[in-house]
Amino acid sequence: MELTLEPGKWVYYRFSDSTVVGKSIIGNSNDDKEWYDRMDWDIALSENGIRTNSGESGRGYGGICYIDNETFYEDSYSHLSSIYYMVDTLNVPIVVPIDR
Amino acid sequence: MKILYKIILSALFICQPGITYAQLAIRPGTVLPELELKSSLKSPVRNGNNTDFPTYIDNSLSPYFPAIINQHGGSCAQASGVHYLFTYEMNRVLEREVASNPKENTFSYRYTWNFLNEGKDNGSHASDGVNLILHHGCVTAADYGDEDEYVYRWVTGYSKYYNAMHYKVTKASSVNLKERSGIEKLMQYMIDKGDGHPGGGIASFSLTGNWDKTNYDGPSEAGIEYIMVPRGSGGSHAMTLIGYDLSVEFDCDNDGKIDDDEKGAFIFVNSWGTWWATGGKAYMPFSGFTRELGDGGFYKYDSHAEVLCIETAYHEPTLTMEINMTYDSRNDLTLSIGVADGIQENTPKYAVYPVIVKAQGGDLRMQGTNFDSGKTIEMGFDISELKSKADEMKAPCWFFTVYKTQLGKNGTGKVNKIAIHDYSSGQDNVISQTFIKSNTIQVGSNKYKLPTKEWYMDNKGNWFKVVMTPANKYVSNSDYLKKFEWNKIYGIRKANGGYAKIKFTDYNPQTGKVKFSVNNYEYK
Repeated sequence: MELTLEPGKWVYYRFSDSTVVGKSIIGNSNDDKEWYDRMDWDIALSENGIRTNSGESGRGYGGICYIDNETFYEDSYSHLSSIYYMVDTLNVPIVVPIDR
Repeated sequence: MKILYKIILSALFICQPGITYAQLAIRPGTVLPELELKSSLKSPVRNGNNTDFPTYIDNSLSPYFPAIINQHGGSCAQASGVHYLFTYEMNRVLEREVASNPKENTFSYRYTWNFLNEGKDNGSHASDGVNLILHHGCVTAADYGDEDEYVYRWVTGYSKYYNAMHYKVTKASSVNLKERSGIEKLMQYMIDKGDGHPGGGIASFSLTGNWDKTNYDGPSEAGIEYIMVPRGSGGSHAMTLIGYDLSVEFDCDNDGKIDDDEKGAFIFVNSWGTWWATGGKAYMPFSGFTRELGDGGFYKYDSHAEVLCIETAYHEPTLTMEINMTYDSRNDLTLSIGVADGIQENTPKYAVYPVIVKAQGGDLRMQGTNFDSGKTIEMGFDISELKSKADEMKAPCWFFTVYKTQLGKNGTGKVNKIAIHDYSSGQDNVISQTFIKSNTIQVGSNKYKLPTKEWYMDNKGNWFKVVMTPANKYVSNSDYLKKFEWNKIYGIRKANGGYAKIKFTDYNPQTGKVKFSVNNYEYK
C-alpha cells in the first residue's frame, strides 16, 4: 500500500477499503473538530506521526499499540483484543520498546 | 472476610403496626460472633451487697443518642440498626453530641435500607445494614438529604460516599438473652463498654409473632408507663434496647405472684414516633427473653433471643475508587475492584467486591428516581485494603469490573468515568482516571483497566513505554518520522472497534510517499 504525505497536513486513511478519506491542516482547530466527529477514518498520517480515531482525536473506538513482526504475520486477530491500546490525548501516544 | 460469623435465625422485619404476619427474609441475616465484654465490673446482684451498678440505665438520655423517629414503611431493622444503634455508638466513640449538628451527627437508615429492600417496601435485617457499614461506612442524614424525595433513592456524589467511609462498624457481635447470664452480660455492656469512651452500649433486637404493649403502673425508676406482653398482633419488628430498670416487677404468667425471674426489664426505643408508649419507649421484661413461649416468653426459638451489638471507629481511607456510570436496571449489576501488576494482565490479582452494588436495589434506575437523570450515579468505594498490595507492584494496573445479569427488564447503560484517589500523603491525589466514550455494558463481565505506569509488558515478554509526542507540532525534519516509523509495526483498533495491523516499510521525505503493509480484520 502507498499514500503520499503533504507538509503540514494530516492524511486520513480507512483500512476496510484501503482508502485515503481526506486531509486536514495540522493545528487547525476547525479541521480537528470536523474530523473528530467523523467515523469514516481509522488513522491519520503526517510528518509528525500517527493519529487514531480515538480519545481527543476522534469519537471512534480507535487506539494504537506496538506489535512485533511475528505478530504481524500471524493469521489471526483474536490476540489483538487482549492487547492494551492507547487512545489519543492532546499528545499522540507513540509506543516504543524499552530495555527490560 | 474481616469477621467470622455464626448464624442468626430470624424472620424478616416488616415493622408496621397491625401487620400480623412475618415475611421470609429476602436476604439471610449476617452471622455474628458472641459479644466479648471489656468491662471489669462485677456481675450485678439484685438486692445483694454489690452496689457497683445503678438500679436503672437509660442510654437514650445520652447526648450521643439521636432523636426518636417515625420510620418509613418497612424499614424498622435499619431504623434500629443504623439510626439508633450506629448513630449512638459512633457519636459515643467520637464523643460528639447529636444536638451540635443533628443532620451531620445522625446517620441515614434510608441509605442502607435502599440497598437491601429490592426497591420495594420490604423489610430487612439490622445485621445486613451493619455489615454494609462495615465495608462502606455510612452516609449521614445531611448527605442523604430529603428523605421524602424518591423513596428508594441511592445517594449520588463521590464526596458523600467518601465522607461515609470515615464512619465504620469495626465489629458486630451478639448476646443471647435466653439465660440470666446473657441478661447480666448485656446489663454490664449498657453501663460500660470498657473502651475508654463515656457510657455504655445499646443493642438491636427483634420480635416476631404475637406481641403488644400494655399499661404498666408497677415499680419504676425510669418512669416508663408501658410494658410488652406476649400476645396481640405485633408481627415482625426490630427495636433497640437502650437500658434496663431493675425495679420493674411484671407478672408475665398471670399467676398472681412475682417470681424472681419476673423482676427487672430492659428499656427499649421503638421507631414509631414519640407518640408511641412513653415518648417512644417501653419496657421489655427480662422474662420475655428467658421464659418459654406460652409461659411469658416471646420467643419460640432460643436463637431468636439474640441481640445485635456493634463496635465503631473513625476511619481515614488511604485509597478509593470513584465511578460514574449510567444504567437503568440496577439489580442487573455486581461490581468488583482489583489490582494486578502491569496492564498486560487481564484479571486482577487482588480484588474487593462492593456489597452495596450486588444485584440488588430493584429493577430501577441507578438513583432509583423516575427521571432520565436518575440513570446516572456517582459513587465511591474504599479500597484502602488493596493499597499495600499495589505498593508492592512494579506497575499497578487497576481493574473495575461490572458484571451484568438480566434480572427483570433488560437494562442498558455504560461506565462514564473511573478514578483512583490516593490520600496517603494527606492530600487527594488522583493517580489515574479514564473517560469511557462509548461502551454499552454487556451481559457477563465488563472489564475496565486503569494503568498507573506508562510502560507495560506484552504477551511475548517484551516491555514497551508510551512516549507522548505533540500531535500538532510541525516537524520539518523527516528524521523524526523515520525514527518511529521505519521497521515499526503497530496494532490498530479501528474506529468501529475492529482491528488491523500496519507495517511501515519505506518513507521518501522528498516525495512524501509512505509504503506500508496492512492486515485488516472486520471482526471485533
